[in-house]
Amino acid sequence: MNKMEYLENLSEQIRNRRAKALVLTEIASHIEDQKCAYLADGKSAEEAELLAVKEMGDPVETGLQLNKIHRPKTDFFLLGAMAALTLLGIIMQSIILAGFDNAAASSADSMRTVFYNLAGFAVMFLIYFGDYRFLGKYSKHVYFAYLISAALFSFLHKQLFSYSQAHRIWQGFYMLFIPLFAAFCYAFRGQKGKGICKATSLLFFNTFFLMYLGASPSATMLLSVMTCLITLCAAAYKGIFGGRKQLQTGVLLSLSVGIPLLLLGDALLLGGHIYLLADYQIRRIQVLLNPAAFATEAGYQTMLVRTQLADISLFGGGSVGKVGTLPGAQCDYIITCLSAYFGFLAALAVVAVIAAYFLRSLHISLTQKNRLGFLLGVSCSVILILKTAVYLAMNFGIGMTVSIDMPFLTYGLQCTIFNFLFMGVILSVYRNTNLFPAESGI
Amino acid sequence: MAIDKTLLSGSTAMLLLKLLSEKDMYGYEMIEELKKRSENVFALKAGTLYPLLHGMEDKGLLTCYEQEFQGKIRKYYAITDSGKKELHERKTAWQEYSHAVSGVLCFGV
Repeated sequence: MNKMEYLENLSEQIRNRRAKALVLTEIASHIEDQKCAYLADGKSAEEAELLAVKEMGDPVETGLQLNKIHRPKTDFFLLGAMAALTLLGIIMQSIILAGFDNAAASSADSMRTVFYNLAGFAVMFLIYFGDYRFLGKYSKHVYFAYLISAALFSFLHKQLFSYSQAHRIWQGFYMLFIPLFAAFCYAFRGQKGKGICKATSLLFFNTFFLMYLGASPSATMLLSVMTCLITLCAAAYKGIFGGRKQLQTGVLLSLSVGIPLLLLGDALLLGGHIYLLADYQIRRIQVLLNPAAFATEAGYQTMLVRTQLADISLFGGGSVGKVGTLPGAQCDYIITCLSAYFGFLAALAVVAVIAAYFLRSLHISLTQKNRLGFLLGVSCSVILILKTAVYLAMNFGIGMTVSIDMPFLTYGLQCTIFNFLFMGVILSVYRNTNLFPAESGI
Repeated sequence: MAIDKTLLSGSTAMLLLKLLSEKDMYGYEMIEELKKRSENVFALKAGTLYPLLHGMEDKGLLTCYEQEFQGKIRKYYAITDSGKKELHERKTAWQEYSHAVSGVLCFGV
């Protein structure tokens, strides 16, 4: 049997196309090494190849064993929990919407949320079965299309969209940038400090360019920037940029934590004069720290949540409470309403499932050997975790009221699509764990 | 003296972990090193080696990366912390087993 026949026999045993390429490259390289050793011993090329192939053993047996390992992976916990949480979200939204005065509008919204989630699942499966390496290969092209779309939108948004619609779409641009940024970190791999500078400059450029085009600063923008910074730190920690990874991670972490702390300190102690924070930004920080002092204005909703939470029972009272009557409660206060309706234990169980869900996502991402998979998985997990943390804080009366959604549970087309998109990336990364190579070492 | 290869079954993974605990290696290099250290007793087939390596990688005992060496891209394997722990456990178990076998064989001699 010659080398080609051996590889063909082995390849026939491996079902997955991507796994075949991964395995055959390594096996072919091994045969070549063995062949070179025989050539060095004075054998002819033909004889050396035949002997090298003979040394390999039975290709069918090897192929069958490798086929058992190199299969697409499916995380049934993530898929099952996602479906359960989505269903719970739809039920909870319908309960809240049913309490509103306009019954026809509420009924239409309840139907809409079903379609939004179905669309989300469609997006997720499209990405799940796709090849995420596309983003690594064409990151520049995709980013070019992204910038052109943002520029076109900036010209058209005032004519075609209301302020709130345009605001949501700008938020979408910030969300879309997250996986793109991860792909760029991958593209800058091995460039040491230069790669980190390029990635940081890109993050600043994108943030301010979107603001220049018309995007308003928002919680989504802030979370997007934080996610990108965490992705950058993770890339440095993993040694993706090459060079002194501990020093790089230390510097990046210090800047990522130090700058917000300086802004916070300035706002609280010096009235925001040093770093020129706007009055409303200083006010928001004050409300965040002491909502009771602003109970009749910006702290009203937080205080309402606290009052309602103080009265909830273990098994719930079958009512969404006063918080559930707030406009947009199906978006902003789904967990508070769930606590009132189904009780503290149910809310605790949901939070535990959500925590297990995102810990699992993060674990999958952090243990990826493929560097692009690692970066994409980390960035998508981090944004979902940050959004969830802010949302839960808001729903438990700790944080201030901001426009943030809770993955899988809250109402809204755009947020639903993006959350499923991020989950699609994480599941795709997991699916291809044993199918994609680890990439070149640095 | 020819060695019964069944004695080796189950311990190949331990030997590979031991090699990789010293330095990162690629597949062919591992086979050659094993052969050299065992004075040609452990002549592992590549067809046995790769499923074993890929299985250990899947379990998180090993990690791998590609690196260019003399114009060729090679896939190197490195031991992880879990791999080091696994090696320690397997070594301990092997030593206990080997001590017990020696005890039986040497009894009354």
